[in-house]
Amino acid sequence: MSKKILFLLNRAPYGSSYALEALESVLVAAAFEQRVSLLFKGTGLHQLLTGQDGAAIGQRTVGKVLSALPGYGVERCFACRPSAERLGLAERDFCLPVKWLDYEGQRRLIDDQDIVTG
Amino acid sequence: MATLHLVNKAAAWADCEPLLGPEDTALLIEDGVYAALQALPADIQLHVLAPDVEARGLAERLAPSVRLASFEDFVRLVVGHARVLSWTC
Amino acid sequence: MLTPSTKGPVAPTDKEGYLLDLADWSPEVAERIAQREGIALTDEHWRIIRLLRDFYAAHDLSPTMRPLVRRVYTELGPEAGTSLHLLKLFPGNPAKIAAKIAGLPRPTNCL
Repeated sequence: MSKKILFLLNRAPYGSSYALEALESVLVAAAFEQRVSLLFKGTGLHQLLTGQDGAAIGQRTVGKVLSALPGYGVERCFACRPSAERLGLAERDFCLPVKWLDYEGQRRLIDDQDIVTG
Repeated sequence: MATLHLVNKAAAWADCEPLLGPEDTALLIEDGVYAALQALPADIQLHVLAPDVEARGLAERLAPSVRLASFEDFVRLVVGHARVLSWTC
Repeated sequence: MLTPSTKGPVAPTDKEGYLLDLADWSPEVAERIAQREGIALTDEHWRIIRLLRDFYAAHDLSPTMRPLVRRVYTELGPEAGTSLHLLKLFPGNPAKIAAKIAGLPRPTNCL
């Protein structure tokens, strides 16, 4: 049974294992053919930056893993516009195409889900 | 289709608040209860977990619009909403 | 399964046969691992192995079956890009066995 699952990604890509662990969950959900959406918010938007190289600190590169998601059937990626404006980020900084959402759009996205998780 | 927003750090409240829908409820738990010390919008359904408030010595310091919730209320809130969103930071 | 040959470079692997240090990989090591899996590598195998290594370099990730098939389909065409074709080349579990031979980590979340 396929469910709508939204992953709310609001953690920075390095400095903790949260971002990669959330991505592993995203890959599992996609492998089980769930209808997965991602919402990048706050410093979670930094996961999307181009030019990352985790190898410099002996870690996997979050941006590289993210760029594999379309191949896993994960194509609904949303980004919080107010966070991006606060952080001075634009889509040209990102390794994946995103759809921008204001707060109202994010509320509607959440309302449409069966499950919302971190 | 309402959402229960669980906030367990005061700093996560700023992320959560703009996404509260009119039908939604927020429940502050653990260190999230510190967010209830400031003036909060009166038009939102806001609960704080009473044991966490008592443990931190905040019972007399809460904003007036805040409602106290027991662990049983916590369970009732979870089953009474379509989904639960845990805010982290 | 064939008996491992005593010739050729040997690199330490885990119990399942995945390289412990990915930097130990070489085409010769790939031949050895394939041999342990009972596979004699052909050009057709090598196309998949190269594609897998490119995928890993781009995404820090060993693909599971569905994204692997998808990538093979787009890169190598519709005849190569089917589960059946990959099963013929790497019988059993193509995503896992091909990753092993290509010197990548075990794909996680493999169904």
